[in-house]
Amino acid sequence: MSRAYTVYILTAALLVGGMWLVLKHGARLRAPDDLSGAWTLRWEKPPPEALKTGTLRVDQSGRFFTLHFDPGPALSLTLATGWTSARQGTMQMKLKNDKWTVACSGARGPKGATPEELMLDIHGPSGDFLAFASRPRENVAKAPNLNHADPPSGEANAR
Amino acid sequence: MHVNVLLTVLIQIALILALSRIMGMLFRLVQQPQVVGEMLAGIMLGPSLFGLLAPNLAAHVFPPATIPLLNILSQVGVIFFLFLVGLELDPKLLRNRGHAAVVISHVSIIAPFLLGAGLTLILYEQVFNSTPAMRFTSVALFMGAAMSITAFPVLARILTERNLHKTNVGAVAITCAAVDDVTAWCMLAFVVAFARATGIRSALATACFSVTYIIVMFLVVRPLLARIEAIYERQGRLSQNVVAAILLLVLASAFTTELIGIHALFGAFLMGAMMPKGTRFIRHLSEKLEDYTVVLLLPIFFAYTGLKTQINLLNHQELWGITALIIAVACAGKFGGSTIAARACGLPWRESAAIGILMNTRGLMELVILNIGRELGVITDAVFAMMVIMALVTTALTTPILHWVYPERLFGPVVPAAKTAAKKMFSVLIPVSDPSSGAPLIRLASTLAGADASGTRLLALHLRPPVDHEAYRSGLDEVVTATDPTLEPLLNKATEIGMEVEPITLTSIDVADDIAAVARVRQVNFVLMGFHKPVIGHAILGGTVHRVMSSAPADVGIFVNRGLDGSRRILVPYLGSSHDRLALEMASRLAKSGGAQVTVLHVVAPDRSNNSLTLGAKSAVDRAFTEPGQQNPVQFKVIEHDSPVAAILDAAKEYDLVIIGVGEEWGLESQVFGFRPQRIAQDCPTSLLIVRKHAS
Repeated sequence: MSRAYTVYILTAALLVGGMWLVLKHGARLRAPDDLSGAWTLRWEKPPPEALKTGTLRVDQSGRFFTLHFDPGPALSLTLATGWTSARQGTMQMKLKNDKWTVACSGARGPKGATPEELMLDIHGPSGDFLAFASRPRENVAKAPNLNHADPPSGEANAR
Repeated sequence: MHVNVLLTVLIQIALILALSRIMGMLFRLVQQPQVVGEMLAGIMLGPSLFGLLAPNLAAHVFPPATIPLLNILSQVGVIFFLFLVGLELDPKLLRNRGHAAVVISHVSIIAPFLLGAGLTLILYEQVFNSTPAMRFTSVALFMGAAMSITAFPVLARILTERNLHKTNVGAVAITCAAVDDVTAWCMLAFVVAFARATGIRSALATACFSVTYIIVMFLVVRPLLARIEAIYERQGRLSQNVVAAILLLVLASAFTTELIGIHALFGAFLMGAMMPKGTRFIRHLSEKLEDYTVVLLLPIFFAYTGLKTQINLLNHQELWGITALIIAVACAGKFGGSTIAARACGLPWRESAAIGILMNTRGLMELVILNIGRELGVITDAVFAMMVIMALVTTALTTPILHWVYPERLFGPVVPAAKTAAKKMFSVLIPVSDPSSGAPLIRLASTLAGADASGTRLLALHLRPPVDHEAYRSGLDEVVTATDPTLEPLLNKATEIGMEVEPITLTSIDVADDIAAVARVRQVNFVLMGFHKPVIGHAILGGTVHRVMSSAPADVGIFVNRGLDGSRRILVPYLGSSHDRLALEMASRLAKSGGAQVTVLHVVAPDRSNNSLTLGAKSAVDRAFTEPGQQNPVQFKVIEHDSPVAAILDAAKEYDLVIIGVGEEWGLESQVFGFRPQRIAQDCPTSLLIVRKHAS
């Protein structure tokens, strides 16, 4: 058997074996619940500058979140370990950076891992705040994430 | 369409086109593939730069309402581009090569695919969200496919630009890239079908329809295309009806595959692959479609991709760490896999590494795949940005690393075996870019060489820019029988006067650099070239001429032909520099072989005549002209004049040719933009040979 055939057979075997292992182990992995997109906010305990309602856009890539409050700041946060998924009944996530902590919780929605409503318990240098977020009724949740191309999410219905 | 939207889209397209061309040219200047600059131009127009620096202006130039229009244009562009890629893929590439190429190409897909899928084990919980589209299996398959792509067109272009396409490395690399392309698009069709499938029933339906579609393409469409080609052959031209028929078939194929669920791009690619190969018909068709697609539509695709690329999403240190990991895995899979496979197949390490680095070129094909992944929702925006960076980095790394791993000396023109003999010979390199300058140059070169043909070597060099079509076909062992049309007048003249000339035609992206390289490798004594009026400025000794003069490892002569018809009377202005002595040497050669009468003109300032300088000039002239066989003794004249330049211009009227060395005194220092007057070069009424002695 030529050297080329040997390499060929070895690589094919490696592919089959490797993919079997990858898919077997990957089946156990859980990606964080998807909170990305636009949310409508209702402040229960608002920060001084906030209105009673507002909007929140979440850029999420797995554990890495950027919460854009409108009006308000944009917070870059990372998901802390020990979270629970909405698939398990109730979602519990703690998003943190060196100054802020945002505890998100929400019940399992009709689409499994995507809760339709969230409670945001926010702790930071300027105080502690509490807000409820819900998906807007209009389909803006998955609007293009271009900074300048986003539709004005403030138009979304407030609860 | 509302008039304002139309205006905005027109401005967008103009901006995209201009920036993409500028960036492409800038990147070519630094020896990078043009596509890297074009990809970067797209990113610059998006939120990562333009949107960041001037958010209001960016929102004004790219308002949300126009983004879908750009998307449609970019999709159409990619559909036709993939048709072109399929069109240029020739099954002969596979038939011509041995097992090694097939093995290397399959390993170069399997290794990165496996590593990409394996990487998902690390990344899935880090940067992916739990959505129906981002199931682990979909993500793993997609990451594998995205890692294993090779940009066939970019690779082909790099091969031709570096004249690697006729080497073993080039042939193996292009074969592997062709196989990779076919496999990757099939794989992607599978991944898309898998990601879109809502259950076993829909997956089975997609599989059945796909098989039926492929059978129809082979059994119905292929013979139909052969008939269309026959119509073309009968008509002898590519009629608009034929073009329309082909375009309709491309659109129908793309529509069908999109409907089946394996993406429109696969249909366009397969339609291209079904077309007859290597014929005049295909060449005409691709020429018709290529410019419009590559120059106009692809930059829109890059811009659309750039508008979707948000590098600002990578706002955690960890995300940059993950980006570095993705780049490392991409390189390990593609570069490492191909290199090891090539080595295992018996290629030397250096060639194996060169193949590996070439296969690591991802270019715009990666962007096409990433856009599909983003559209399917298989990857997040942050992962999209990371993968775009990976595509840019791996493509940009190719040329410099290839240069380092496989330097030009390994594939450059062969150095003559008898080095010492070559040194003793008078060898002239004649670079030609304008066919009409070839005949006068060879006539002058042959006179300089003299009657002794055995002691002379004449090389005619044509450096041409790479052509996409040629790049695609670089892996095929097609014998080029026709003479290079640019060199044809020169070669005809050489035959007429009984001179033997070796023609060399190479692809080049840096003419000056490559003239110097050929002069060095072929050990020539003298580079004789014409000049072309530059686009900007009036300098004769600027631009390429300046760069050749300063970098060629040989004496250089620039021939400014003003209707030279035999050089019977030659004037050599002389002040004593090494360049002037070279001018004397050249005049002596012409006198010896052509029987020309030479006048050496030594200009001194009035009342400042220096006897020792004049005596020195006289003895230099005597030395140059007192060789055996010298028929016409040189005439040595000393004149007093305030301006040496004016004196020469005045005296030149009486002569057929002026041979002059470059030098400050004559206002003839070579320079880039020619701010100096270079009056002699511009105002000399007769033909002029400006010579520069090599510093060594």
